[in-house]
Amino acid sequence: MNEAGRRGIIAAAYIVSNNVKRNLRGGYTSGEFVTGQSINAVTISDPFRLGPNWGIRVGTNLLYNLFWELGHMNIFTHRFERVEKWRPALFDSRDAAAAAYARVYIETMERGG
Amino acid sequence: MTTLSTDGLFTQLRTHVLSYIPLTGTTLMQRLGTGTLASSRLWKDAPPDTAAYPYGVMRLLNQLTSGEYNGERERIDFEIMLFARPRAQAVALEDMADLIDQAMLRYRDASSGLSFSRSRQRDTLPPPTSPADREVVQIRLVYPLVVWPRYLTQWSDPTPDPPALDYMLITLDGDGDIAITDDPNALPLGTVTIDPITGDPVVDL
Repeated sequence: MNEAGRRGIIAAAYIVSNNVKRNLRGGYTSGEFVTGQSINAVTISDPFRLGPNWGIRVGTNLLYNLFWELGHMNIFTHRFERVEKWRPALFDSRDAAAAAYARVYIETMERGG
Repeated sequence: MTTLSTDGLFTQLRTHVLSYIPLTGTTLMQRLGTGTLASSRLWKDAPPDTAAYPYGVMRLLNQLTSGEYNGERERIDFEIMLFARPRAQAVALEDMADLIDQAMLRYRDASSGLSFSRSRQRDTLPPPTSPADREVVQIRLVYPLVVWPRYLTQWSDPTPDPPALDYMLITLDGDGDIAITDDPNALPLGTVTIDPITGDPVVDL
């Protein structure tokens, strides 16, 4: 059951991660300066214990992703800028991520995991 | 205050955090403006382009409802982002965040509908990198709220608004009968409180 939960949460994280990457494809503003750096910086942690459950983090190691998501004073536009890509992706992924978790969990249990 | 609209809920929350009087120091209203609600630099969604520091931006995020409450109970994240510049203002900004944490601690407002918060998350962001201004200090505060807004609960409640009083005393009147009163001088036999989650009366003898 432990292994099934661990594998299930990894599958769910990939659904969220893919949705975030899809949202980041056009960049944060006009799309003219997209280098792929933001997309390549979407990271998935190792599963970790949350009491009896498993948790996993989908995040980034690129700091400016954080500042675009939460809002910042932009030195080029001289304005407050905030473009949310991650939170909507997580919200839109909830059902698909839960389904992926359930599918992998059941498959693993059926194999005796 | 009113929760007859989402904007009304915004106004209720903004007024609460700006007007809260701390044990020491000045109110947030005085720190973010000239001491009036209108002049306070706490804006909804985004600041104006010419905003002076320090200022705050407030948002309602992740509005969720669920079937077990017939769609009348909402779970909303109330986010306040505080900004100051230059970086030497970091301590003053942390003090403002402390003040907002105090204001939102055990926050409850039943004057119209019902909204309350029992937990919080606070993050001081690391010094920003390009394209953000690295001299700007930024603190993010999030308060998960439970809200029964009047614009939804009005369909279940025949009264226009719940009574402002949230407790009553059970007493014996002159004939020895049990009576319920809001007279604070009455000799109490027990109290009736309103359960903040279900809205049901709870009798405690």
